[in-house]
Amino acid sequence: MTLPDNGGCSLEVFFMEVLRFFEYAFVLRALIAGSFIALLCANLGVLLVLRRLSLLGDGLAHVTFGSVALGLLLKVQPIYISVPVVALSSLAILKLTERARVYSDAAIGIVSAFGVSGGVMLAGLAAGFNVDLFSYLFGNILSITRGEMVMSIVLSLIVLSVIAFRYSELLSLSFDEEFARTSGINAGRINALLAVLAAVTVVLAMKLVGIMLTSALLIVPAVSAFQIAKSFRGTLFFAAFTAVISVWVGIFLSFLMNVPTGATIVLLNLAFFLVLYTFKALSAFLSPRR
Amino acid sequence: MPVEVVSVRNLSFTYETRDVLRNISFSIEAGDYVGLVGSNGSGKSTLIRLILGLETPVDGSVSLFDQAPSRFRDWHKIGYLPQKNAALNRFFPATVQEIVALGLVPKRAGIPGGDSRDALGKALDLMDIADIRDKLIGELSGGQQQRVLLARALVKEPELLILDEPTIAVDPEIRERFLNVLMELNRKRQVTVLLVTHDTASIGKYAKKLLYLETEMIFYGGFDDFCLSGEMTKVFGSFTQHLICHRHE
Repeated sequence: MTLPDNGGCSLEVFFMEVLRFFEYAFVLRALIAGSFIALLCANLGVLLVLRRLSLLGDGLAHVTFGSVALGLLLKVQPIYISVPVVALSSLAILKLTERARVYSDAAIGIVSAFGVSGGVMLAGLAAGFNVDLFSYLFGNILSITRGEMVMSIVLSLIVLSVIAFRYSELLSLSFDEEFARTSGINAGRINALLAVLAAVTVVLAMKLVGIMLTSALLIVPAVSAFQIAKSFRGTLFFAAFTAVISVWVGIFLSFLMNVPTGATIVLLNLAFFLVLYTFKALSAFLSPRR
Repeated sequence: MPVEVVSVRNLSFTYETRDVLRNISFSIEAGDYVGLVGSNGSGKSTLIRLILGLETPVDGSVSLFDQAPSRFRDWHKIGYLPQKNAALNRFFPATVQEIVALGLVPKRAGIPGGDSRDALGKALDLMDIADIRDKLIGELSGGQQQRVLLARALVKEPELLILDEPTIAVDPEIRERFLNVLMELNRKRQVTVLLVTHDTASIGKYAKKLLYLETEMIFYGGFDDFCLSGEMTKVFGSFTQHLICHRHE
């Protein structure tokens, strides 16, 4: 889809494009599913970044690559394979960190390498689905089906409800795990829960921005919110706000300019970060020093 | 008959090949105020972590309110302040009020919202941080941050307070005020206190009992016993003994 070449983009043409944009069912599906996934990524991303698990999303996305290959090989909808496989991998990272005295980044590296090498091996063994497999690398929210949209909404609502229900425990653990444990919070159980939630989120984010850019959707809205938020609740709100706006504007721009949707969404998130970072730096520079 | 709040029996803990604690036994009764002192690496913080179930003993046992720490459920009875360096993430995007409210997490179920708000307000006032309640924790000075963490330990009005070097980085005025608050909680409300400190010079003014640790337990008992003990003079020398005892009345 490109802008009409009529010697200049008038306001009228622009509004016609906007109206036409909302007429397509696939666009509406993308906007609805994308909003839920963005909301989810933003909230979970804040918790992961604060717990210094920013790269967990990246590692799990690599595992998703292997699980998608397995799904394609078995001719099963990849999401049905990816959710359990990635959840188990996430728990494996947690156990490696807790029990085997492996630093979390190293544990993420081990599991991530296993996912990618497994995926490449499966693709090599069963030549023929490479095109399908590589389409998952970059995602395409505009191709989301009604069934996938419903599943995205349901899973997002489940994960968001768990975060809301366990808000205090998650906040306490993120700030000070030792204190949280002496508050009667079962740190092991909540960490396992967080690992599973991260897995579900990564699998859903794969459809929105692709395996390659999933971690950006977890990290960037969170660090954007850190620049301006004045409370923890505010951080969650601003992260969600920037993520959802990026999805909406990203889908619209990609539709209008015929560019990849996932990359556009991530670049908009990065633009938000740069603007907010600059705003914060300028505010600090201009504020009177005490 | 006095109620045992903490009971430690023949406790030993080893880290890799190093003995951190060796055969420690003592008990803390309700209403006690115990000052836990010892040199760096003497095992003070490890002992506290073992009491709270954050570490598992190699040998011996611990009980908290007659329960093993691993099965302990009454966490609302305990207020804990970990060592500052281990606790604080300076860039954490939460306000003073949000951090102090974390102390209410185990008590929140079944507590009316108004009571929680009252408790929060009281803790903020007690530590003189009510006027900075909406500031981010990272924007505060080291001393203010420590007061926030102290308020978090006090907010649920615990029966047992375990504090690991609480007055580190706090200016003398706040330090004095906090130690007086602790003494008042102990004397008037019978709150049991276990305070780890390096400040041997003033612990005698506040605590009722002294626990001196150097991997093994060197002394546990009242200040009168410590100050009048010729054996302790041999162990510590008369100068150190005098330093510990001179503010004890």
